[in-house]
Amino acid sequence: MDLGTVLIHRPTSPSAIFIGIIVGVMALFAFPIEYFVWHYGEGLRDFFRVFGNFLWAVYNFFSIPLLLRTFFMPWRRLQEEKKQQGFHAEEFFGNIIVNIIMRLVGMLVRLVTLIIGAAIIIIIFCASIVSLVVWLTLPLVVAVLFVFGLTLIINS
Amino acid sequence: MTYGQIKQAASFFRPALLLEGIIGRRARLIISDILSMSAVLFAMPALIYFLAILFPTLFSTLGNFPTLASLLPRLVGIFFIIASLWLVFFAIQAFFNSYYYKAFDAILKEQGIAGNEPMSFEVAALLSGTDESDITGSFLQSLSLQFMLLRLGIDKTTVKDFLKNRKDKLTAATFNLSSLDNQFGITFVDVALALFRQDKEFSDFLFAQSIQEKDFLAAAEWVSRGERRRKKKERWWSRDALGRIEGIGTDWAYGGAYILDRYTKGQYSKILFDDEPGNTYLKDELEELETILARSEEANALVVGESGGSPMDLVRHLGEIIYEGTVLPALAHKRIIVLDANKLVATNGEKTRFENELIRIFEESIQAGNIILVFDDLPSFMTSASALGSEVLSLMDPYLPSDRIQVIALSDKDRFHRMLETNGMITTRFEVVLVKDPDESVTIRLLQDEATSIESREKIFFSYQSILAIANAAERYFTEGVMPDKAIDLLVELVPKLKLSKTRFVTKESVLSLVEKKTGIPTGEVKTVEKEKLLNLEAFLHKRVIGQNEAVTAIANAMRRARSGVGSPNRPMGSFLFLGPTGVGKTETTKALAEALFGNESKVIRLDMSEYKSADALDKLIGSFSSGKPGVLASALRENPYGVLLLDEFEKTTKEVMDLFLQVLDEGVFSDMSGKKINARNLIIIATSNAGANLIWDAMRSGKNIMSLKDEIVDGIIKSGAYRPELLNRFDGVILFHPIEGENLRQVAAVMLERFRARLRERGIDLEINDAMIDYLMKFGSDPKFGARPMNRAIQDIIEQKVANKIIKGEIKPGQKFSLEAGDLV
Repeated sequence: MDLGTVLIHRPTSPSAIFIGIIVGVMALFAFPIEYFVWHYGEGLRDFFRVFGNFLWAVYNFFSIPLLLRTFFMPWRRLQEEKKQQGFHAEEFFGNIIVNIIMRLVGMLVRLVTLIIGAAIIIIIFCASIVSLVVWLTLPLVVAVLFVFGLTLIINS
Repeated sequence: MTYGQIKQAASFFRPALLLEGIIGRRARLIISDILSMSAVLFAMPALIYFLAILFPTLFSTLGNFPTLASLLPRLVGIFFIIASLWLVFFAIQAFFNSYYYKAFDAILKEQGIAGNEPMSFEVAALLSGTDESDITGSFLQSLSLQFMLLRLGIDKTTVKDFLKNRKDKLTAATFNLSSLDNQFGITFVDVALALFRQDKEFSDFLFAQSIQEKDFLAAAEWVSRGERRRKKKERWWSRDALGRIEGIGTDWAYGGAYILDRYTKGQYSKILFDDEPGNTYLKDELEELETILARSEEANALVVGESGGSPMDLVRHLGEIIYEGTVLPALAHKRIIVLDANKLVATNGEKTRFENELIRIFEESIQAGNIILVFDDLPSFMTSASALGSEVLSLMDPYLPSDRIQVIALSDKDRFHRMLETNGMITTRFEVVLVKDPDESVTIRLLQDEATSIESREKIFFSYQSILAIANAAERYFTEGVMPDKAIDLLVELVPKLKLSKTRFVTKESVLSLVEKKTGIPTGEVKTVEKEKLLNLEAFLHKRVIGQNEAVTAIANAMRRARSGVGSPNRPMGSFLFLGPTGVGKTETTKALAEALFGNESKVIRLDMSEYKSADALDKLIGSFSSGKPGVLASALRENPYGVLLLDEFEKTTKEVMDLFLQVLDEGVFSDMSGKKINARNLIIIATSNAGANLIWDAMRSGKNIMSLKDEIVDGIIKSGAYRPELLNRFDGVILFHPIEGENLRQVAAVMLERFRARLRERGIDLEINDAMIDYLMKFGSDPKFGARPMNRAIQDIIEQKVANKIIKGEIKPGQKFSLEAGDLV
């Protein structure tokens, strides 16, 4: 008989209830061991995976690879084109200036976005380091918080 | 895998199940929520407390409230205790989730998710509580299986009764499993299916509820898919979920498409596709389309679908993988824009303006650089543009080779062959992708998902049978639109009606009765009155049709087959070719049939096919695009989709018309001039013909039984060229009517006189029918070439005349009974 059977089938005979209780108590003891094995094994791997996902999401949200690749492109492809026949100095230089401005606008907006994105990535990275420390020392952290809280209540 | 091995494999999930045994998931979630809320609540005093320690001067006024000052540390203490408990629950939940979301498909792969777990969590949970001496009994107590049986319309008490009255029990010793798809190990579906296959008594029980393996499987997949989808939604930290947040700056490097935006059709919001295991709808086609569009030049696709719906599904599918970010890199960040061609033609209205606008759209799209332009119905666009005198394809041509724009044009198969295939420009610039229509399982799957989302809003519950009924009804009774869209539309349309009728549990019957109300076509189970009619159809027909026993029996049998649901739903209800000389009851039988089945002989749509023997016969029937005239057949069937279609003298029409009916008899639908589908699936089609009358006569004269010579007669007809064998084979029955002779002729005469008598009675005159009158009439029917028809004429021309004379002379007065004697009739 395992715990699932006990819980689902609700034994009725006295002997079965007795066995059921023993199984239940054993489960209570078995669980912490299972948990700690997980906490420093698979749990740690999960931790890295989730923070990896967060970093990946920010990296994608700010379209970092795309912005880097298209860094020097004009803003939304807004460009002046040659319209008149032959060479006209006014048109030529006018177009060059407009086009340079559009590229500068594009670069500026991208730069700002990249900086914000990078900042958020750094913040998440730092947060992940802190969280990692907390995770590794979690049993201690829980105990300290609990005892500290208890002392505050008792002492005041 | 034996039960022992499965149990062994399930031990992978033991830690999480152990936790589940101590404290259930629901309870944990509730406690976690309470703790989080309290933590937030107590965080406030904690904040004040620490600020007061850090900046004592700022909070010096706190000393004025001694009770508060002494209470504060306690509140902070509570906060810390709550925080520690919250951390414990958080960790425990993380522990559980680590197992709970294993063996789980992800679109964007993540390390360690969907690894090589032997089974899903649900299966392990199901197995963990199993009584090894009664597998079925334990499984049926699990929530997921109970839910699934509810989907199949079986409630708890029925299950309980079944469990109580079993003779045998499936034990662990005999139970075994093999996985359906190895990618995710054993799933809930595998377990359910194994149960069905291995417990004979259980499957018999289901069969008695008219549930077969495929139904059971579909319901299991529905439940399991819902579960998986719920999990996916919960797991917000997955790459799939996070990746769906649309990034910023993806279009900064591309230009805007401002003119084009004015002619854009709405974006689609429904998620139709997912990478569920086993979902192969459009999978290959999508890959093909992606490869074509990702080419460096001439990256244009012409998507051709069998009926017209699936090509758009493919485009949506492409839109979704672009959105998800799993598309080929060359197509990342592309915008799919569906051009509203009608709007473009209508707003510009005139050749030059229209052409200028189209050219501007293309130039702008090329300038933008990230546009995939979709023409959702290229043939129609070409036709409507040509009405302005504009040649769309040549206008498009210069832009098609560009690597900065991709064009997807859609077409149905029919018009692809007629208008596009032969065009050289199409074949050089476009690559053709052929799309298969979705099969029923795709429709069912989409309907189930739509139903699930309706259920969460509307508090109604759809049984699997109701979903199946919707899919079938959409196919059978609605020809407008394409599958699976029209099935989904039908489902959505039914919801308010269901709510109005206070139906909470939607069954097959509730769906069918609503469909019946909407279409006027009887759908559901055969009802008592109709049952009577169908069972006694021969007797009913014989009231009007004299003799012709073989014909009547054949027709009655075919009708019973059709109405019982045994017949194919994609063909007309029945189709017959009546062969025989004139005046032997062919038309009469048709009318009798209409009266028997549709309650009214006016439900006959009669077309004299001898009127359709000129070159434009087909146009007359289905309408003509050039003249804009609607077709006779098309309009008639649109108005009366339910009844009897009588095609008199069928052999006289043209080959094209016969080809049209070849299709109608086979598929139950045809397209009118504008490509709209017209439903002929709720018709009984009867073609009558004199072809072979001579052969029948010869056989009669030599005293042979016609029925035994049927094959020879049919062969003779084929040889004479009146009908091609493939057409004859399409009919449900080729039915021979033999000439009326002797006693039968006498009966016919009696029936005709009886009808005349009924007409007179309306005038208050009662005619007594006697042998003299019958004998007299029979003389006119003696020429077998014309059958009974001359007798009818004789009644009109001679008898009516005599009666009229008598009335005028005053020999017959209203209310009087009279009869004509041999002397009167000379």
